[in-house]
Amino acid sequence: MTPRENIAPFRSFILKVANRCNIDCDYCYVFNSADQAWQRLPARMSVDVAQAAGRRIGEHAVAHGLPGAHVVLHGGEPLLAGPRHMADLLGVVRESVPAGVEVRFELQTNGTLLTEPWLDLFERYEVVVGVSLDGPPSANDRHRLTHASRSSAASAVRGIDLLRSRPHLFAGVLAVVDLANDPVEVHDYLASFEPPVIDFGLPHGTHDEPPHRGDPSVPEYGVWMSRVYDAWLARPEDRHGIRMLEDIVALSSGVRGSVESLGLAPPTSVVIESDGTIEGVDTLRSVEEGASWLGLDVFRQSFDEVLHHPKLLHRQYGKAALAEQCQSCPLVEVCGGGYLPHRFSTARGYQNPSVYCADLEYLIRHVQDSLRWHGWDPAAPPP
Amino acid sequence: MLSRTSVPTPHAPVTPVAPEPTQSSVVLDRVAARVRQRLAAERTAANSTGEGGHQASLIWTWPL
Ligand code: SF4
Repeated sequence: MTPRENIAPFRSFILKVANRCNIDCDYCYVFNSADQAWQRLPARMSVDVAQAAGRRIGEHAVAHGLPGAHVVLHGGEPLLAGPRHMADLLGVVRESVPAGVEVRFELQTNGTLLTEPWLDLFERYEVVVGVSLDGPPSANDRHRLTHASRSSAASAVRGIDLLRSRPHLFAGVLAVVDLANDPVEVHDYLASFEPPVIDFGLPHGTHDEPPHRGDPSVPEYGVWMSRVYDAWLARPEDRHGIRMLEDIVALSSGVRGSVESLGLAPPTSVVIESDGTIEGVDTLRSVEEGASWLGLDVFRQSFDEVLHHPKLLHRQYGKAALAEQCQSCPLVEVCGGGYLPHRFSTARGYQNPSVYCADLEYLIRHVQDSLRWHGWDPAAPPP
Repeated sequence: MLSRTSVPTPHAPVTPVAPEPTQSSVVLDRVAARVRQRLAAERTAANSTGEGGHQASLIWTWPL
């Protein structure tokens, strides 16, 4: 296999500014998964690491002629870094990237620790904020409990309400699907916060540890998401996008870029841990101990060296990296074989269709049938 | 429950129930406008293979 001629540079740099969390979601890929790397990592990123990361981001952007870069403040819970320390991190990253490269900051939080001073800081550095919430309290409480097993829903909602007072800082809401929740109820509840974007993630699962299903003969996750799609289309007064569904529409219409869990575009994000070590796909922690480990760090290696790491080169192979069944699948341009961690089995590595194959097929066909029904020919640009 | 090593094959498509066109076209019109912008942005971007954005963040993967 040979990679595409032009290796796609990194555009999004995920900084793990805090490596602890004030709540204890049972599905968390950082703290409650196969890989327990967080235990040896610093609780928060130092200014030195952020400065080295900023310099490397600037170097990479200049080398590839990129006008800008996304810097995502991630965790654990990034707000555990504290506002003063976060201000230092933001300042040093911005200073370390050359003036000609625009840095766009985003922060992904559980929302429970948001306060006015935090929002003032985000105004200063133009940080947009995404909040993780799985739906109404009864849905959210299935997984997102505190360390004392109490609901975190009320404090997350308080945080979102605060964020809504500055809508230009509100990036949207990220939810994890649970089949036990009603998809329409979840959709309508999340939409009631008027986020610009909602996205849904499928629970982590591999062929060794498949996701929970009530009836394995039914593509239940695909059906669940198709009901979200129908609810979305039925509420024209709401103005939010739903990233996964909109990406399916876009990929069906000839767009190539999408979230890394769909399509064939090379993933262009890279993760910088709190100690400066670099990972490709951080969610591979859910697969096995050490799956995301590259042995590289921002002090010693440039992001160009990371691009050529053997564990990441598969990103550039596109369709050729997929299982045979996916290569010959009529939906491969849209599905892309699914999200990398969801393809894993001990027996065959990543050479499998997604553990959500039937669900993805059902959902993509549902969306494409709906487009056709509205006079929009999938596989052609939008009318 | 799937066996621990089983690999699922695509199921035969189940015919979905189409939503009401009069109501839903407003949402799809908005989506169509954004998709057109994305297509135009990709055509002018240096990298024609597109880019895959981070799943666990809320970044849109449109070319900067
Ligand atoms: S995971 Fe399934 S639907 Fe997706 S490309 Fe592979 S075979 Fe097709």
